[in-house]
Amino acid sequence: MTLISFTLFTLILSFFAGIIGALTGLGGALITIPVMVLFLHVNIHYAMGAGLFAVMATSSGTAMAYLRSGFTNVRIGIFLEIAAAIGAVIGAYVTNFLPAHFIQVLFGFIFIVMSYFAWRRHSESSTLHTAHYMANYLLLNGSYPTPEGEKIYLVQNVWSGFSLMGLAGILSGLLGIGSGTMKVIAMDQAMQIPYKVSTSTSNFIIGITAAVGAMVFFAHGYVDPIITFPVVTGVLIGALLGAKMMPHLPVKHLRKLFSMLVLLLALEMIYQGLGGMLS
Amino acid sequence: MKDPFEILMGKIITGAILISWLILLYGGILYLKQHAHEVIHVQNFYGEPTRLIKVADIFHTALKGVPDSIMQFGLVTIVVGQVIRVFLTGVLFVKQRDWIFVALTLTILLILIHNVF
Repeated sequence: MTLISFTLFTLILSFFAGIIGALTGLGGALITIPVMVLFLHVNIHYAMGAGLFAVMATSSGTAMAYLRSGFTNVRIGIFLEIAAAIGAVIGAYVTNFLPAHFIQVLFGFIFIVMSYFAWRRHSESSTLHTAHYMANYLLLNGSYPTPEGEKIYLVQNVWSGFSLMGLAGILSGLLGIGSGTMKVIAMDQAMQIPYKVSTSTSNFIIGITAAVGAMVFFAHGYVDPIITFPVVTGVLIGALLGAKMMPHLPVKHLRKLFSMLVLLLALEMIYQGLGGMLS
Repeated sequence: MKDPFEILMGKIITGAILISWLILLYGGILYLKQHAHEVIHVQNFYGEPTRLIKVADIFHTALKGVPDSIMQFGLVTIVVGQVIRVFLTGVLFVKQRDWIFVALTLTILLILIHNVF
């Protein structure tokens, strides 16, 4: 393949990955990595290096739109990022003792279940009148714009969300993928935060998590500028567009899209994990 | 209700990545001009040459106008942009005099700086 055709193909692919990343809070690497590896035969290390930059580009590209429109809850983001950072440190440490492929398969199956829950849950109109005591103490509750005006939400199960986020960190430390997925699941399913607030807040912090690992990737020589250039370019343009689209899209559809992507990730992890276990 | 500083933060974060991208784009176009029709080999992992690994080397070769070093430099600035994001979040909480969150943000900043620099 010539450089120009590689660049153009990757650019188009990444553009769509950027839109989807912005809409779902997953960052887009979830799409660019498997397509680049399976169809463009890019080495997995280079694809992962580029994926990390796809995540940072989505995160930064959406920041302006989501902070301005008031979806992002910076307090929840920072609180949960602490758990993710601690988890990432633990993950990097236990990776020496735990068989990574086994964990990949295990989480693959967990994500299949999560995908089902994400698909099934459709009620946003919360009937809850009280928030978790930690949410009150840390002022995590907030409001977000809806077609019917600004709506208040009360955060639930703070500790479950925090634990899940720690798990997200361990996953990213251990496998380098899947942390955006766990972040949205922690906020959406456990803490019962409105879906769009969950995805926007996930978008705000995934860039930070990715940056923690970025320099290790540089040092290992995983970051190739020729491969990463079209990925960042496409994802960034896609993310800027996706962030403009998001407020106008119905939650129902976004949730279905998210659910399908989680299933895709689950299958990807099981496939990779089994491949690694058998080899 | 929402702190106006959050909107400013958003502008700076997204503005920063656009600047990084312009650097990347400049290097990318230079590189494409020279190599557009060459066949690329991406299947095997060779690692990167030192001039594309160490930040000091990336910076020096980028200044000399080596196209892929300029691209790599653009990528480094994207990482720096994430550090700026955490720093600005810290400023937001200092402005609000919310010391618990200042401490939380500072912790993240330290982990990040420890890993990045």
